[in-house]
Amino acid sequence: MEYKEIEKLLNRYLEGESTLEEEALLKEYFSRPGIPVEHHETQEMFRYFDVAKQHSAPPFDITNELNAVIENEWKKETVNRFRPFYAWIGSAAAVLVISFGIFQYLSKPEPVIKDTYKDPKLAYLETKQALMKISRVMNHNTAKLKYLSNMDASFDQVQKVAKIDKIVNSVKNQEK
Amino acid sequence: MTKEEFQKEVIPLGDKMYRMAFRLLGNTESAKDVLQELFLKLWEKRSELHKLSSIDAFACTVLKNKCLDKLRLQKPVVDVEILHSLGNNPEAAFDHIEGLSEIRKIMQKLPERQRLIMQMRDIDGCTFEEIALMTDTTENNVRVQLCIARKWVKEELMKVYNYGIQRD
Repeated sequence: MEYKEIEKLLNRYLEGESTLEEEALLKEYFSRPGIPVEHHETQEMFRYFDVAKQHSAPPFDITNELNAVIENEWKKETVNRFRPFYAWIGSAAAVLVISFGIFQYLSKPEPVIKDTYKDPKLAYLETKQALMKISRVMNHNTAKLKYLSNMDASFDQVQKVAKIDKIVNSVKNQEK
Repeated sequence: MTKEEFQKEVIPLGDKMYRMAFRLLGNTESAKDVLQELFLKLWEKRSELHKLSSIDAFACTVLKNKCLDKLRLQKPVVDVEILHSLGNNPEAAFDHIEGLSEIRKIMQKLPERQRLIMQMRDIDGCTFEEIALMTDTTENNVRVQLCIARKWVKEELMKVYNYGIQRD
């Protein structure tokens, strides 16, 4: 940058008219080596600003710190937003389960004795017929059971063999 | 404004907001507290931020009020002028850096209000609007104060450096 430009900027700076960009240019210019000696105090001034800026820097990471604060707030809000929702769902489910149980209990039909035939005679005949059917089947099946009683008789015969065995044993004992 | 938009558009203001709070309050802890309060408030208002002409200006106004609240709590006297009567010097720590103790001494001699404005502009890189909002004045007045302060500092520095040196 031209020296004259710098002089102009410096004037604007001293008048309080320079922009932040212009001030950045000045700071950059005066941080270079080989600045004319008559600007020594201006150079020192800008050096001071620079050092002071470094020394007044926050001793913590602002972006991290603030992000953590916001992240925390955001989590709190999310939890609070869904908490009533969960409670609502829970109570709704409970009400549903209970009312379903009550409904089931109340709607269970009571056992009642009911006539299936209007004419008692017909009902009698039908019952008789049904019972006959059952007895017929039963008689047919119990006939087969006769063989079983025959087997029983045979077992009685076999029992006699067991008696012989007993006698043999007692004879043996007597020999001793 | 979603969380992502907030993180992209609002959180980057944090650095400058911290610097301004630090200028007004003079210590790291208070500045950090106020900064957190400010961003919680901005987060609360995030649905309205897009309607504002300048989020930055809104943040400055909130920040200034929070700083004033803090200062009122720190000092028993309730006085808005407290803002302008702060004699803190956060840069004291680098007195040892060669040559800079002279200019620091000169800066300390500035009237408090002028010093505050000059620090906010020349060290922290704040805009005229931000400084005006933070110091309860107009942008024009900020320029005037800045002009007086800069010229005075330069003059004083010249006296120091030219002591014993004869120029043409």
